[in-house]
Amino acid sequence: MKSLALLILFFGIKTFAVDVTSFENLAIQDGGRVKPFDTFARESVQLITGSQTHNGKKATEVVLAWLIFPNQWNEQKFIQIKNLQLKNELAMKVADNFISPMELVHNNKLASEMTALSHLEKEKKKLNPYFQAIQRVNNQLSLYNEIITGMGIRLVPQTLSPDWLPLSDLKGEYQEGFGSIALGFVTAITKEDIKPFQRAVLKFKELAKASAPRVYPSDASLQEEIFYNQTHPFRIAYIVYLLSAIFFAFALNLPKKLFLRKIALVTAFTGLSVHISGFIFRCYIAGRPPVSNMYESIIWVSLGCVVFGLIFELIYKRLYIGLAATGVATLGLIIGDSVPAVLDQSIRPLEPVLRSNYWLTIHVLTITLSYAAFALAMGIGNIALSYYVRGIENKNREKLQALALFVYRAIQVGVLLLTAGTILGGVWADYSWGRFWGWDPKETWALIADLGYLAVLHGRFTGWLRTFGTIAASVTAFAGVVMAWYGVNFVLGVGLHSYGFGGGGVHYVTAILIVQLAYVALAGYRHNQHLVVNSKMTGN
Amino acid sequence: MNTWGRKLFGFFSSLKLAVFLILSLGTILAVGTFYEAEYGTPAAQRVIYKSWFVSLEMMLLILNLACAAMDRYPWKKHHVGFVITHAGIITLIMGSFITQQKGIDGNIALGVNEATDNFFVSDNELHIYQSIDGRPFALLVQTPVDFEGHPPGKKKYEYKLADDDVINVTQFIEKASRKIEVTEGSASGHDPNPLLPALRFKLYNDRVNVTEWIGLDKQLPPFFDLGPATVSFIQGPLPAVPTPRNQIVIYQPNPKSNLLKYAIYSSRQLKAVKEGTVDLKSQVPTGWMNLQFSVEEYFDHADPKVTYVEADPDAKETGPAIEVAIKDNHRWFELESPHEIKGPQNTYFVSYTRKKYELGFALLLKKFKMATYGGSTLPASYESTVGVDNKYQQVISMNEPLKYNGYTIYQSSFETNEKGEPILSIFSVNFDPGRPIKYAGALCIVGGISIMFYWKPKYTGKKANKGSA
Repeated sequence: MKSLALLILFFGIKTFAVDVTSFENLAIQDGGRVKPFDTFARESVQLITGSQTHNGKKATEVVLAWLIFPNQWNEQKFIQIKNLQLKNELAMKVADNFISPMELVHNNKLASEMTALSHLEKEKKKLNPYFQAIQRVNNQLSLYNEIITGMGIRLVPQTLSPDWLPLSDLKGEYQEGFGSIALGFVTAITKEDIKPFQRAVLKFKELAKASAPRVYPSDASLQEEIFYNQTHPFRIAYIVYLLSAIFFAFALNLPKKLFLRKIALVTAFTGLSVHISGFIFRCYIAGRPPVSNMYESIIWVSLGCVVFGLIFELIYKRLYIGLAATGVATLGLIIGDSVPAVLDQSIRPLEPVLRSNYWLTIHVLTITLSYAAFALAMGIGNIALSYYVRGIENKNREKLQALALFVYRAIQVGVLLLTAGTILGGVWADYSWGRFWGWDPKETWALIADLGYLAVLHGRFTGWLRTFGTIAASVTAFAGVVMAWYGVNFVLGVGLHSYGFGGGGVHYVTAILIVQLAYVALAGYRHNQHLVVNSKMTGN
Repeated sequence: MNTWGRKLFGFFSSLKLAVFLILSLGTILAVGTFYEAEYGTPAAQRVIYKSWFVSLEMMLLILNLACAAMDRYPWKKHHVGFVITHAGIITLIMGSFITQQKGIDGNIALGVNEATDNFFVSDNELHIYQSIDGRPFALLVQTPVDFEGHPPGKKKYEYKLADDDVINVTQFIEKASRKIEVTEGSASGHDPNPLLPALRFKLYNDRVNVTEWIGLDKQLPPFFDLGPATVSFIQGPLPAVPTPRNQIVIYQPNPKSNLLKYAIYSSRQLKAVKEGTVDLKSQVPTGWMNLQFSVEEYFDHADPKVTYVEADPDAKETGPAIEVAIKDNHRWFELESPHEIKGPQNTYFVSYTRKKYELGFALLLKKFKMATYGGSTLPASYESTVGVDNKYQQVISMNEPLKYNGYTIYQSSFETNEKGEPILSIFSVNFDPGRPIKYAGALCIVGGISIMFYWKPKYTGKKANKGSA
């Protein structure tokens, strides 16, 4: 046994890769949903190690290794810690990002902090970044524990109960069945023979299926979700959008405009079709419109932004709009893809109050679609501001007037959608909570954002906002959207929309907002300089 | 119209006022949300959202919207969207105003197989009755009170009663905790209600340390429940104990003598495990969990003074309490805990209570179910099966309210026991005559904006340059 352990230490952890494709195709019940093991493994390895693969190994292989050789893994440093204060408490070096389960379990300080955390949670207090990090370690450790004990790995459905049986409760042929999988896994590593493993997995799957044939998902549907996991459609979409944005930018600045515009448009539509396919795929897997958390809403808002942008671009034939739309969508999707610790990508079941596809679709999609229109206005606004910053506004007066008009139109679309969406939210709230309007922070911020843009629309009527004013205001007013969309859930954290609450990223969002406002201020300063020069010229 | 009138109309119909109102409303509301994150929802509702200045903003907004729409009369085709939208906003705000004035929002909490035909709202009332034998007799005063919004220090709560008696509410504590001070009174001073005996006991080990008054006076608790054990005080001989449990009974065998005896029981047998005579301040081991027991003080004629103080911010299960005064007699009243107060002429019965409404039908909770997503503890649905007037039954769940007799009843939450099993289903009850008006307004707003969006290019889009950049 000792020699086996040594072997595993050398081969199991370090080098040899086992082909675990067959195991990825097993169904598992986790987090209130039945999914392919691949999805469970990716989500688990992501949470525990901070990445979907570990040392180049596929998530499923990593989870199986944890499960089958817990003693070896308990000493390995693979649990990701990012918070500096927590690293300090755990006596980690600042440069180290990983710690072993044993070190965590034997840390007395952490144990007392976890008790403090449970008190905070019981009192429903808001958590500061340090306690958010403690909460994450807690989740990482308990998930790891559920995996190595088999209590969190529910592979066998039952006919009499909706709960699937976890590995730890398996008996008789099921227990033996999983035992031969484990043996097969060891054989695969020690003898480099994968066949016994694959045979055992297939046999186990038949057993599990036979246990409750009606409940067990079809191979096709498991395959589809694995395909979705592997393709990362939104990652492909933003790469294509980025290309399109580059073509639009070239078209703006180079000769052969018409030709380049065509290429940019074709690329944008390609990106859009990948984006839409991914969106529909996710709807299909989740069985509902994917708009229940921040990650899903970013995907949807980016989609809306491209759709609006391309419609405007086709009507007005202005390259700026295409550039703004693809640029904003690229940024949005990159943000969505790159901070999985803050923006949870996993598909989760809905809270009871959200379980109404009808309302979820019409209320949330309408509201977030308005964010898309405002994001487009913000994108166009930022492009327009660059003319002021570069000090070439006089030469581009007509261009800027046109840009201000597009901004205005995009804001109009946004105001229509946000007003309608907020009212629909009121109707839903009336239907579900018993009141139309209750000054809940999410409602209130939707209204504040709407008021901000209404002020822009009315300000243009009064003549207070001319070309520069409209453009600058369209960018500034987006702060209201950021607050309604992100701030209420991640900063305020109060009110009835608690199902979308999360934490993290506050510093980044604040920094981006400050940079954005500084950019507007700089443009305003340059614009003022021009006004002074212009009036002197006309004065002379 | 004279020039002043015209100027005023010009001011109220101006776009500049509109922009000012929009921005100031936005700012106030933004402050409100941060206030709420800091001080909680009820405080934000009271201080910001339901304040006079938000109402004033709304009224100015209505005036501004109406004047702006009239200013453009006679309306042309391109005004259609604008007029409909503005009329819609006015209608919506009016509808909300009706809801605020005439609407009712209440709560019902029902255990399984419990029924009710009324419900409470969060508004409170003060009821003053003439008292006969400690019970309410004739209702003299029934008035809504809002001590949170208008505390007694800032507003006078004075009620003139018969024979020149005047009752005042002198203090209010939103989260109050009870404090008892007991002094030795005289044997004869308080006829016809003589002072009764009371004692202060101490129960402690290295983790627990409890000191409490118990007594025969109505203001004092007759027993104290520590959870795993109780301490009680009675007059007369030691009664038989029905079920075995950890308890200490202190009894006064002869009311004329101040001799006290104690009996300690354990949860394992019916007979007392230890009996003896109480010696003030001497410790008696109880035999459970190393707890020591002693009687610290005893008064034959105890004069308890119950007061309320601001509770610790973390304290649980605290409620509001008011101090009521008639002449020099001050007494505290907790919400939903009515009792007597004596005046120089008459005795009154005061009740500080939540306002109650009749449902007009009986609502019976037959079943409550919390379903979870398979293999997890994530809640998937909350469902209450209710019976209405014994006539029919319906399932109330999230997004599926019951509509009956003008009321809409929603699943709002539930309470669980220590094992996590649901024991109470909580419904919210709503009656809203403003609803159709609000919905009509909402429809106009969305329709109006759509029309405006459609019309807009006719006069601002003209300058748009078509063609490639």
